[in-house]
Amino acid sequence: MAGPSSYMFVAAILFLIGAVGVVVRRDLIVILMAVEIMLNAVNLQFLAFARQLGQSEGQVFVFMVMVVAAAEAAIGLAFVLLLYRTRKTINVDNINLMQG
Amino acid sequence: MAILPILLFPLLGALVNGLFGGRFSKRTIAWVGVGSVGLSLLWMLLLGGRFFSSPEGERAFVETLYTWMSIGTLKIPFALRLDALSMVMIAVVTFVGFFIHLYSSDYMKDDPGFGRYFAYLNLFMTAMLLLVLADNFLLMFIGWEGVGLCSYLLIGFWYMEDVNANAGKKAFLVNRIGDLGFLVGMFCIVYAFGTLSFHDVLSRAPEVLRGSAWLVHAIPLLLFVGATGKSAQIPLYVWLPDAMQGPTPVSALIHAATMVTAGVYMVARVHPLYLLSPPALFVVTLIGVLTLLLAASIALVQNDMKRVLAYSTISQLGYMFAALGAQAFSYGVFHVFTHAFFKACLFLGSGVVMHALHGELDVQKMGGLKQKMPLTYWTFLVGALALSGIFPFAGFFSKDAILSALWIHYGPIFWALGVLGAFMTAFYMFRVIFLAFHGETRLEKHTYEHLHDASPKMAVALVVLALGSLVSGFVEIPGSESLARFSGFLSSVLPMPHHEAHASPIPEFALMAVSLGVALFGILLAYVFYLRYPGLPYLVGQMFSRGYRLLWNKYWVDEIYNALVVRPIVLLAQGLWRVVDVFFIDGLVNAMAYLTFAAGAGVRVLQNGNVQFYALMAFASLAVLVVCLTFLL
Amino acid sequence: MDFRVGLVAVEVALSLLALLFILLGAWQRPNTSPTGAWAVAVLALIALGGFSLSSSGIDGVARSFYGLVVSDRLGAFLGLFSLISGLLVLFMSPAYLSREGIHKAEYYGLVFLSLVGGFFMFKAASLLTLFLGLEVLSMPLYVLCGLKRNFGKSPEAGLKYFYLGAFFSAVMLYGISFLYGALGTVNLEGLAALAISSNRHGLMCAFGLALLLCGLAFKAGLAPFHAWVPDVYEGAPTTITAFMATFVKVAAFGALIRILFSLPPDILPVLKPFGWLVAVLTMFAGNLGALYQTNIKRLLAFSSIAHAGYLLVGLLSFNALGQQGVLYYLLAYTFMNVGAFAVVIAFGQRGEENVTLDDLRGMGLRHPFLGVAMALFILSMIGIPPTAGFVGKYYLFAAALSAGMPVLAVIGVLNSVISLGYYLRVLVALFMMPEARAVIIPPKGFGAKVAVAACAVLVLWFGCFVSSPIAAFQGAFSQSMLQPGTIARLP
Repeated sequence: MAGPSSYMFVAAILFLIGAVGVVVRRDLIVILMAVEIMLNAVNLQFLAFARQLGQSEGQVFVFMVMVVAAAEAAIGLAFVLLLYRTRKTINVDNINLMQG
Repeated sequence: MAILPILLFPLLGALVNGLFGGRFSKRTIAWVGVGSVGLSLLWMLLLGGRFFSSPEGERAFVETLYTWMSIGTLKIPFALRLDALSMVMIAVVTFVGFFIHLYSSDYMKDDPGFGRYFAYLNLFMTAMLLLVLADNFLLMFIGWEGVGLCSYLLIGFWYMEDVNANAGKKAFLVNRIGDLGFLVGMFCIVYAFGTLSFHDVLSRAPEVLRGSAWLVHAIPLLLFVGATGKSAQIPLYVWLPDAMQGPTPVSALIHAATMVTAGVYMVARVHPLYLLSPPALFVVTLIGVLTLLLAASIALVQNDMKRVLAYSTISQLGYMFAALGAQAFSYGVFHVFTHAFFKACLFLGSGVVMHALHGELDVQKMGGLKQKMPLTYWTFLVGALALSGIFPFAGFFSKDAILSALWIHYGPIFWALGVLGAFMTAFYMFRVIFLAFHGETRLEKHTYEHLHDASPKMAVALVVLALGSLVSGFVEIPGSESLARFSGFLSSVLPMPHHEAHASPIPEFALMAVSLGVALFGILLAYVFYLRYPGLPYLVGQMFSRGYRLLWNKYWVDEIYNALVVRPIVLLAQGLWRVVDVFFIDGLVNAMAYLTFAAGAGVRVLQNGNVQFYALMAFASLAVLVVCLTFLL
Repeated sequence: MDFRVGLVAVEVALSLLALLFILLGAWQRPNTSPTGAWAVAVLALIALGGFSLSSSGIDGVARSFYGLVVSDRLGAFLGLFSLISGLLVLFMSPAYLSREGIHKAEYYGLVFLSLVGGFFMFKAASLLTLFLGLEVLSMPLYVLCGLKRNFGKSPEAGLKYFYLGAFFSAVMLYGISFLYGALGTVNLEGLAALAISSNRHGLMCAFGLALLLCGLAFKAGLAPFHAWVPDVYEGAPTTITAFMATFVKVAAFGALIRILFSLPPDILPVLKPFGWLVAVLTMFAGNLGALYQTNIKRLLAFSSIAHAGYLLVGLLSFNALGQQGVLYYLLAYTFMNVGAFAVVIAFGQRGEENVTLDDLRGMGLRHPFLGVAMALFILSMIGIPPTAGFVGKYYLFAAALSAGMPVLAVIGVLNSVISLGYYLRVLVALFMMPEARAVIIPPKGFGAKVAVAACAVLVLWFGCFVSSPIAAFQGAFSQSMLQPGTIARLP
């Protein structure tokens, strides 16, 4: 049975993949998916610790994170739709009316 | 009797004119604006009556209204303090201020911003009175900032011209740099004393500061930085000459008679702190003397009448600081007192000239104004004589007191530098007088014919201030303890300056005679150069037959003198002005501003509008943070 | 441990009203204004504000919901600030929203929901409550930022805020998970056991705390996580900008106070250098960035970054002066910022017109009331006495000095000199420039003027009468759940 260290390692890798995805991908939908990967990395780590500590607080946290992730996805997709309707693009590079 | 109303009258005036000025007639505005200061003046007289009727030992009233702030155990009340020093200051401020308001009601009567003007002016009076009446540093700081703000508004009053708005901004910015010093000094005081009340700080200063190695010098020096900003001393004097862009009564009120003396007042108020630090005292005198020389020499070559007066203000402030540094605090305040009269008189006179000539201020283009504007001429002459320190005008007494204090404390060199300043002062003032008022006019005939003298209200102000310049010096007769009424009056707050009991080898009257002689020589020289010399070509033509040789020689004497003495001074002065003033100090200020704005441009580059770039910045920062934590722990 | 619903009465009331408003929005006829909803919202906030004010005098600490929620004076004060900010924003909303054609009942619902999130942050006794509060606060704001759907900048602002907000939520959660693993609990009291060292436990604590604080630093707009602030503030509807600039800052700093003051004192040597650097960066980023701005909303956005830096200076001193100063400055900042945005709204026109400095030229003289009020807010932001901003700044910098951080205080004062570079431009535009516009449309919006007047009076009031609020704020810290043995109880 692997210890929490290996879970932490996997979670770190997942989190990095997500974070890099957020920073480098241009497509808004892929970016939303990358955020979900980051949140899932967190969930994995919470569950590993909850298991190691033998208590339920971490598991409760995971449920809350899932709810938040769902809400975020709803809002994010709404923004994607809105932008596509008004600007015909979902490429983040094209979204910079405001700068300086 | 309550002290507060003296502040409230002008504050109310400012509110009424500021909010409803648009709906009032100019007459009403003038009544409100001038009347509110008039009430302050009356209230000052009532306060003065009460002050003098109370026994000598009890002449300090503190009026606590409520607790304004409490910082930890430190309570800062909103409290006003009326003692001999603040009595003198409110007398000067309300008296001179009232006549300048009166003058303004005529001077500005054609200006569309009449209501706004009086609102600002009244607000300024409030702030200045608060500054001198405050019982603690923080309250004083409110007034301190308030006068800075009002001067910014008034200098930029005619904002339609960029120069004026920029001058206003410059004044505010430079003042804020000085305020930085004041603020940090105040923090140090809180740190050392745990209080900001003048009484507590000053009475406990020796025991608290004696033990500390650096605070004892840092506090007075930091406060002095604030004073150099407000009172236009090296290196922060740059704002004052530009500040002449405002309406002339404003220059008279703010940049000559009251606001610039705030620094002098502050140093006098906290003098026990300075007495503990001889180096700080020396710095004050040194800066004062350097400023008085620099500004006086710059004034020698200016052609703009108001600019000459502006530099002369800086120079006179230098005298005041020189006196403060020489522990002659009451002489510094005495010079504030006399200077307020004659400088206000001079400025208002130049305002009349400016009015009559439709904004022309170049003395090279004037000449012969004496015949057309006798009242202005005579009052201006009185002011100039007072400024030059000629007996029996006010400036003679105060300047001389300062010079003798310099001799006693710092020896003949500083005294000589002060005398050199007095010489230059007399020279440049009479250069202006001779060029502007005497000789043949260089104005166009039409303009000259239609010159008008001061209107009645302006005339009243001019005459009253000229009378003040004539008599205000007699309150302190040098060389006699019993006749030193001014410093005697102030002795409950400021220590009596040392007299010649200090066994100075040269009697005070000799010093006095020298400085008077030097000033007279300055006037004579101005006469030779600006009144005799321009007429010379004409004379030469007439006398060709008779005394050609003699005259030729005389001419050469003048020429040689010109080449050997005057030219170098003029060149030096011009050089100082160009290099020190324009290039170095202005340049320094500009360079700082430039660097700041360049950095601002750098920040803009990071703000490129791409949200992924923001995320990348955040991500990179996080990575750096994590790496730091991993390797540093 | 029981469910004491009374402790969350304000939150329950706000949530129910929020749901009601959202329902009303569904049935609202097009092209009508939900005046009734507005009136209900205003009355509700006034009532809740009164309730909060009365409960700000409570002594002691009450807990409920299995230690997830705590009620104490600190939370009550922060809640009160939020309600004040919300109420002022509501006053200026109808005129603005009608002008922009987005006056819907759900606007009020979303504002209320956001307030609920803030309240849960203030009452958080656990990182779980704190996180959920933060999300409940943020999500309605994402939507509100993008509310002007047909105005290009508004959806962009919403998207940018959402994008970075979601990213930082994940970062913060990741940090919380580390703390959970290291400490075995997500209760704030558990943080007292935090120890930073080079072993496994110490590193987990360090990473966890660092990531958590970065998440909050993002919300507070602290450098180097501040880049979203100008773009989002510029694009969002102006009322929402005012709301975010004040309420979100109160919430983020409230959360920072809760967390920082729960830490054990021996981590200060690690914490302070980072905090120092962040404060300096933030002040410079805000003040330097603002120098070149011509859009007032953007200028105020940069200035709000700088103010966050000043607040951090006070927070980092970890002494009583700093605690009082932070609360005082948050309050002062609320008034001067909401007031300034209300003036921007009053001068503005449909479609975000008239929000550049050029548009404001000469307006101060034409409309003396708005002009003088704006001048007052700007002077307060500069820190000129006798305004609330001066008092607040004085406390913050005095705190830094008494905490032995003179350099930080001097940098702070230096920054307020730099800030003159742009604040003066606003004053110059208002009072010292000829009018630029040929056609002058008189400012509209009675409510906005009420907000301006209230803010102006309060900015002066809190500049002149300082003692009693300061005394009350002192009590806020002594009567709070902050534990002995933590930074909060340092002498």
